[in-house]
Amino acid sequence: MLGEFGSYIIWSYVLFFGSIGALCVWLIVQNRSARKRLAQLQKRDDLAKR
Amino acid sequence: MFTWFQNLANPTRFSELSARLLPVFAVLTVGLMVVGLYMSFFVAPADYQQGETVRIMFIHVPAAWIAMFCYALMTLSALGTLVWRHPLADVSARAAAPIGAVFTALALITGSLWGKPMWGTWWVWDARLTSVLVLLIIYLGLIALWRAFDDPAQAARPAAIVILVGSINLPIIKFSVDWWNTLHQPASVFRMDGPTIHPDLLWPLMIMALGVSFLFLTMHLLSMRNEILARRIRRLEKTAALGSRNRGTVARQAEAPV
Repeated sequence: MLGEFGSYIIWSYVLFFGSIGALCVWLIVQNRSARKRLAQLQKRDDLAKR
Repeated sequence: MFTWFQNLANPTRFSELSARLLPVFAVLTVGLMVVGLYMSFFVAPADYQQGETVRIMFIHVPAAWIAMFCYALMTLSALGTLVWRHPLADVSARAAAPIGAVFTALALITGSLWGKPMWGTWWVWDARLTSVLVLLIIYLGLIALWRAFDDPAQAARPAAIVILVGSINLPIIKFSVDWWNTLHQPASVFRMDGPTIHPDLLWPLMIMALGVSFLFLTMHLLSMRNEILARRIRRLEKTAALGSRNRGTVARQAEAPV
């Protein structure tokens, strides 16, 4: 279907969507861990205030 | 408009707005990508010269456009830092850099994967390819510069200056194919006399470009939110480490502009 250079096309799409997917996952994981850490710190701060 | 822009200087307000925009942008990204991919593989015909390999263009060209757009956005952010001192300008620039670096690397790699079957080589040191490689090096240098400082506020000014100096590369990339004799083909979409691409190939390209643009906006918003959170955490940790006497102000400081 993709002709004699099909592997170049497939590799391009795999690398493109693989990299973009990895970047999205990294951003989401970073966001979740930052939220968790912020909640911990705020809780600790609230306890310290009491 | 300016007042609205100023209102966004408050990170909490920005976080609220971005939380509402993120799902909208994500849905638009997925929708446009699905339609764009379908058109790229099942609607667009093979090119009479490039054959099926033209399908690489539907991801290579948007990646290259976003690589440049991202740097243009960082240049505006740098101006925001140096001229208007907008509190979120540095956050925006720093959040955009890794995304821009990935898109630049992807433009180079997919271009190389197109170049091998079409030009017979993975790489040539022509003006367009070299100037895009320089863009990647600038992105990586900026990421290293931000990482070199413990306090992001201290890195804001030097990074903004480097970004502004590096922005000279943008017109070089754009006009390299006109100023020098390059193996890379000249512009075929954004031309004064209109695109030279057949509509059957232009439509899938434009839809993919729109999808990739919304993808960039989604990732940039998410990355900015992460950067704001990271700065709040850093501030809280610093205050906790100092064992501040006025702990009551910690929560308020965490909400303060970055």
